[in-house]
Amino acid sequence: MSCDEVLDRMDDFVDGTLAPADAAAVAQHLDGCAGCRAEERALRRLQTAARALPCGVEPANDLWPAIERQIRSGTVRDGRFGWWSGDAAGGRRLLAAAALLVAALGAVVGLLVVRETRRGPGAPGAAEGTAVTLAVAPAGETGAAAQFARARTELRAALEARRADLSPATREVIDRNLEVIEQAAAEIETAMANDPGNQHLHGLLLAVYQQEIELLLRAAKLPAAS
Amino acid sequence: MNTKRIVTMAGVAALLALPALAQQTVNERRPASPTGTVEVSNIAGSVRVIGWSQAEVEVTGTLAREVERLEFSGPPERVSVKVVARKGTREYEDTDLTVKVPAGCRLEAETVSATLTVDGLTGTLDLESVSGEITVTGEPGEVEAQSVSGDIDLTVKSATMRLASVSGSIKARGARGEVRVETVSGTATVEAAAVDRVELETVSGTVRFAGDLSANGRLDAESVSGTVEVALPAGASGSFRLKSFSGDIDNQFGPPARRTSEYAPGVEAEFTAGSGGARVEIETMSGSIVLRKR
Repeated sequence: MSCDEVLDRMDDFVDGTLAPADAAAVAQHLDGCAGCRAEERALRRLQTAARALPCGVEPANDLWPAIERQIRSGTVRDGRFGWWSGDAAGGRRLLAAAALLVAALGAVVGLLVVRETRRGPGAPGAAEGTAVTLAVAPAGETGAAAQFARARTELRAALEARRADLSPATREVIDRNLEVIEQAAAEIETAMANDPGNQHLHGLLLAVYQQEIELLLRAAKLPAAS
Repeated sequence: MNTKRIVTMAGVAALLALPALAQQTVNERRPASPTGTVEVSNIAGSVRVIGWSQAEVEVTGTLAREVERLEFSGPPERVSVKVVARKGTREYEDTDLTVKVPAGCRLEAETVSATLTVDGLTGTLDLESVSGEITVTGEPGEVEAQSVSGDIDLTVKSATMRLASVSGSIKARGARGEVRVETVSGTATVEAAAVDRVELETVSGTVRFAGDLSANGRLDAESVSGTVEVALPAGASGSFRLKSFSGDIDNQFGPPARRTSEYAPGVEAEFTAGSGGARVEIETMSGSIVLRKR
């Protein structure tokens, strides 16, 4: 089975709805193809993130404007246990949309990494490909990268704005772990500067970016007095 | 009665009344569907949720004086138990609750610093805490638990687990189907027999898996600077792919790790043990990889 044939069947494979013979053929292909495995992993991440979403949330094509609006409107700071109370639908929508952004980022970058892998590290343009651009400069011009950069900036601003609501212990945990993430990203980026075609590093950097967004989201939804 | 005696008696009466002001006791019940959802939230103290065979939710315990009320409401399909604090409260004393719920219900429980203990439930658990410890025992069908700094400790026979903590430690024993564990700096340990799928992800924490994969099981682990340790039975068969950019690989199953490039520091080990079947992939940046026999 070729990569294209496998990718055509990947959704069903990940969902577990593929016929047994096809599933076996896909599994066999995955054993020997790192690119398709990266695609599979990205899809599974998306599936996991989607499972965590509240029911009835429709994903938008461009997710960030909705997230931005709600952060600016202050919904995310909605009082004691605001996130947990029944009247916090705005907060839930915000986080659902942001979670979709994280999932979409994972899927998009996963695809880009696959594309890069297929092109091969030694292939022309490999080092200048989209995945590399995204990994080295997340605030670059690509749609997903730009959305990610905005999400990070706004979520960090939201965290700063509600810093006083959180206990010193919680603030310390969040700050320390954001530092851990920043340090990890810096280490990876340094390594990538020496080995720009390394898909392994791209994948790790993506995972770190996702962790950062997830941590910021978690911090944004913490109740006051946490 | 002289004035001095009156003052003394008034003082004694006031002192006797203090405990009542400090705490309120709770003992309430309401009907609940055996397959419905029960929501529980508390701030500080403890929440103990126990599954029982009755179609009711029972709440007993004591409320701290900062608590305005216990909101115990909702139709049988969605019962809510919520500790509502007085507005403007910044410091909380302990509110300790024991909540008995239908064993097969879905539980959604959230705390800030309160510990959360769950036992005897067979439905889906969705648990969240900021700094309180989460402890689960029994046979829930599915568990999703997350914390910021609170530890998560599960001893369960569950089909699916999704566990995440920022800096708290995670321990999961008894997993059967799928396990996904994610930390930033927290350590995580998963012990399982014949599990189908394991995903471990950390930035700087140490993550460990000790157990066995099913015939076509998969284990994926990813770390930046944290160590990844995987211990499998000596006769485990499967395809293995271990890769680290600058960390060490200690491999007891296959050939020693080899350099991936003459110029870059990466090492990797890719091999098949036995007849294959299961698949193990571990990637790190600078974290060590340890693959050992149990």
